[in-house]
Amino acid sequence: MMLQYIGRRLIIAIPVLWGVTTLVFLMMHLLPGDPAELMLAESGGSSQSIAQLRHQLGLDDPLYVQYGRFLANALRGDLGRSIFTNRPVTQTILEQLPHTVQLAVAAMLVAATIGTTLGIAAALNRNTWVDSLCVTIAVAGASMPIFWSGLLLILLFSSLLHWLPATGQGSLKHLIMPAIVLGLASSGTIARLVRSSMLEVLGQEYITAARSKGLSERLVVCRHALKNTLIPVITVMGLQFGYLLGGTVVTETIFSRQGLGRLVVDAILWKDFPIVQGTVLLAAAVYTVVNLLIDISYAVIDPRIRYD
Amino acid sequence: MTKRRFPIPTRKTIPRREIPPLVTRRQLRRNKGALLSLAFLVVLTVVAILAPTLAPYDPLAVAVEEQLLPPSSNHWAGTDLFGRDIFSRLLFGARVSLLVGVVAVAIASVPGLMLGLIAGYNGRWIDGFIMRVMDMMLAFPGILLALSIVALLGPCLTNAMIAVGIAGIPNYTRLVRGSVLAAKRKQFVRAARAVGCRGWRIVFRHILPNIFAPILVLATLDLAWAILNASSLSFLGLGAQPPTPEWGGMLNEGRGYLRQAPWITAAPGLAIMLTVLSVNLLGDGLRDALDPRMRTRT
Amino acid sequence: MNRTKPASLAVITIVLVWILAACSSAPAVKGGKLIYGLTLTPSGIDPHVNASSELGIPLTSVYDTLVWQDLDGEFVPGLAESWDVSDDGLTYTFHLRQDVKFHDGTPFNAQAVEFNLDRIVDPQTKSQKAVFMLGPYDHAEVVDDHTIKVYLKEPFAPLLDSLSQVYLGMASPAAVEKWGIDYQMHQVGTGPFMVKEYVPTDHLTLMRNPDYNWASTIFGHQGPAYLEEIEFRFFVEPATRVLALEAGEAHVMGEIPPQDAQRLSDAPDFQLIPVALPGAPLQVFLNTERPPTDDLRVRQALIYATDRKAIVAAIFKNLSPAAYGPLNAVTIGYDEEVAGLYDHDPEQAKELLKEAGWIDADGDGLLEKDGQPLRVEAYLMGWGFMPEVAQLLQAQFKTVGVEMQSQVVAYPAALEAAREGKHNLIPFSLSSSDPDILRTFFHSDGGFNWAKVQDPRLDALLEEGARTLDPEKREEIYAEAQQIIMAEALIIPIRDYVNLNAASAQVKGLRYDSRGWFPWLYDVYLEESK
Repeated sequence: MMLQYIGRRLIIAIPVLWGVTTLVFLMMHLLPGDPAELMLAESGGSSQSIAQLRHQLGLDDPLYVQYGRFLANALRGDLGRSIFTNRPVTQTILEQLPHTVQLAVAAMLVAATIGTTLGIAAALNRNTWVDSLCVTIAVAGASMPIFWSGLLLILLFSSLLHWLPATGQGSLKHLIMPAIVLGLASSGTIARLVRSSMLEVLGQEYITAARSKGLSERLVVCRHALKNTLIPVITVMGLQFGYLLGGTVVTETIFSRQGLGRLVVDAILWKDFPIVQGTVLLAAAVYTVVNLLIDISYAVIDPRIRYD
Repeated sequence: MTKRRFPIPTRKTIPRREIPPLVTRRQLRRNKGALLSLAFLVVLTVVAILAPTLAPYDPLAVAVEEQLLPPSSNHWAGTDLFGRDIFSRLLFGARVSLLVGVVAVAIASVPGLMLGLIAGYNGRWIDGFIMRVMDMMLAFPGILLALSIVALLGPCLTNAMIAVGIAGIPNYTRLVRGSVLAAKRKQFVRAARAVGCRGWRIVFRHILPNIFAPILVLATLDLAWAILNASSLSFLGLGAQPPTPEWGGMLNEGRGYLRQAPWITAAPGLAIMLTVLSVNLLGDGLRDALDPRMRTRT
Repeated sequence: MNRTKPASLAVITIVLVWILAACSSAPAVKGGKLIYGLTLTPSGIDPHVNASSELGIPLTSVYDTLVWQDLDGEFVPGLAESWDVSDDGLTYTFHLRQDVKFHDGTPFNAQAVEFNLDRIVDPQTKSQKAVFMLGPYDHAEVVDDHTIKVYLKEPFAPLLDSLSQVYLGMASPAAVEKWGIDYQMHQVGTGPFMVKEYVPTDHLTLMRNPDYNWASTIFGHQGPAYLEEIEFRFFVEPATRVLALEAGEAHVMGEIPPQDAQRLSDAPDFQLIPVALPGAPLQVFLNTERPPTDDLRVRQALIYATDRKAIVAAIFKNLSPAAYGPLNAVTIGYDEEVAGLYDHDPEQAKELLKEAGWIDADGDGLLEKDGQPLRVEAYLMGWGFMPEVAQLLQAQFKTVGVEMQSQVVAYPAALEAAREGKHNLIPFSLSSSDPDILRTFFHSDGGFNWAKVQDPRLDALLEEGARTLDPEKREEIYAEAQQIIMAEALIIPIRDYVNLNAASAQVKGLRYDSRGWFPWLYDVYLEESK
């Protein structure tokens, strides 16, 4: 039965992937701008040479031909070459992917740490000032625009204190500020979820039973409550990952870091079709897989949801 | 069709307890944060509407001799690169941000609501189709989708609103669909159907009031999200165009002067944060008041 | 034996070092690694193929060119020891040096030159700049191993200038053939530095070429370069560039924002190196085919309404001079007469607009004619301070009653809008060491003819300027062209481009070539920090 469920979901995922790539393909070709013109612009190429370059790049074939070519190549694993750097798209993406993943994972850790701490503190001190404070801090963190918190941290730690580098990557020092900035934005959701989840768990009967057995509060919380609190939280964190990937766009811009976010934004603005198509395909695939895993874990945990 | 010989249950006769109370005053009063936020937002809205009267300077008035002045009694938030008064620009920026947020939420919620209702109520292949389309939209990280739409339509405030709005549709669709599905199983809907109430009537009379609460919460939280996203787009240069005062755009302009004139970035950033924080707290308060045990998947 | 040997070795080493130290004439320190900060453009880095100036900065040290241009604009021998030009200007004969080798050991000869030129003009290469720099190039002919003739279809004055740039640098035919489409990752030239490794968007590392012995006379020394390695890193954000420099993440940084320049100039640990770039200044093109800028009087009024001194002071902190014409003041052929043509005169602007029939009918401060408001549309690109300049222009235009609406668009979108003529105003700047750049902007067939000018007089002048080899005659021709451009009010000149470079005080010997962009890193050395 389970296999059937997974199988069904996988099959559904395929048209989604196809739909996404088609959508991106269409959008890229509708965007204003012509890559051939762009490349020859500075040298003041004549309209003749622009037309020649377009032809060489295969840009003047009818849309369905270009589309077919792209699909055929993609199925073979060849995502083409970037129009501007002329390097293979797969290679370019693989070069940038680790940086983005590094940032997203670090941010996730920051978000989980801050969020869980604040959430637990709030839940354990429900309806006191501690509760309000923690929730407010968490939500405030989530309300700060990433570009603002990033600039503030740069001003403080790079410009004034000279403790941390403002740009680049390669060491832990470079990762601290971007991870904090990005993680802070996510920690709000996690904190709220941990709080409500823990409140619900704490109200359960087995907790009361544990307490009446005389176990210390700490033991009750750590051993019994925490485990069950974290299950729904972990699934939400999976979804947050997708949001984090979006947040890397602004973060990578502010901190001049390499990564897929910047790569894709530049590619969209400069109409580097192959890069955009390749990256979106990758993002959609990741999203689909993550979604599938979450759905499966939900179905495993709660059989009632299994056949929705 | 045989003549019905028993009374037809209508909305009035179906037990009211199936429709949960919206908000009780006592519940909201307990959440001081939400009340404060509401007050702040009301003040903000009033200020935004009255901006032309309240602003001490014309937000577009360039006075290069007075560039980059720190906050003083003359200029409460200092001046920017062109000598424009930042405080006045903040006030006018409030208009833009609030308007953008509200319009974006409207653009997201109305189609989202309709699509969710159709998907949830009709079921089968139309449900599958709509949800697959929503999945496709969600496969894009939100800001990339918005970015692409703006790049497509041309960078300006209106298009940024539309882009942020469209990017938000899937959340509403999912929520509404889920709620509709849950409501469909409930007794009173079955009862209504059993006595032959027509589809649309059921939807509007019975289902909608039940899902109004979670939608309101989502809309409020989405408002915060929309304001953030729109200012991000302006920060990237794809939203409000200069010289329109908009908080994200103002932050972008101040980027190169971080050390010489940090107030150019500090003021609009603070404004965005306080506004988004208030909306978030209000949304949280609503959620707690409406159904403390309500769990959404977002 | 074992005990005395290390001791005597040590003594010999010490003596040798002492002798060497005493013998070196310059205090130049050999060795060290320089970190140079670049910005980043999404392009490839093959100089024959790609067009960005960013690639030229590192690669100027990797490739030698047939000729070099000294800072006075004269051409001196490079890989070519001497050259002759036929009387009709169609044939150039280059006599090449015989002692030059590529980094991969293969010899540099006339066949290599022919290979390079063929590669550039081959349509398969899809050259985006180099091929256009060759102009009316026809073909090359190898006379013997060290003599090559280059044939042109027409006389082409900018040829030597083109041949002195990295885009026409000489690459090793063996390497190009070996690597094919991936040559950009493994470039081989004859220059003082070799490519050690290139990790795209991260860094490009060069290392000293120990066999380098054919430095041109424009440089300060002969033999191998001083620096052992140079690492080019990419810093995209203008706002954090200075922070990186101050934190020691780079020794040299280009394109410093003007507001940060003063701070660096004052600091004892840093030096500011402003370089005035020749070429086209930051100028706003006025579309002559789209109302209301199709009216000469309106265009002239806009120029009169512009207070460029205020712009230069407010945005560029007076680190750039104001521009008065279509060429930067340091460009060859710049006509000083254009300076007096349009001063900041709002009254004159209002007069002209009134003459053109625009009056303020409803007292709102903006002019109208036949019910149409006086509105101009500007398309701006996001770099080069264009949005900031536009905001000031908007305010200045408002004082004479003109409303300007602007949008900031990405580069490709701006190019497309400009090509379609959707704009009234579009600012741009482009550097070039030859006044032939005017042809790109103001010839009716020019790739960037954004003023949409179709003036046969101007066309003839610009074509003549490219064909005339006599420098004095060229100056006359270009002077006339500049006068016409300003008389027709095709552009609003804003400021001359000055590239603000900054370096740590340890960096010595850094000079920039006559293009202004490309550093001569061969003579650079790092002083010991005190």
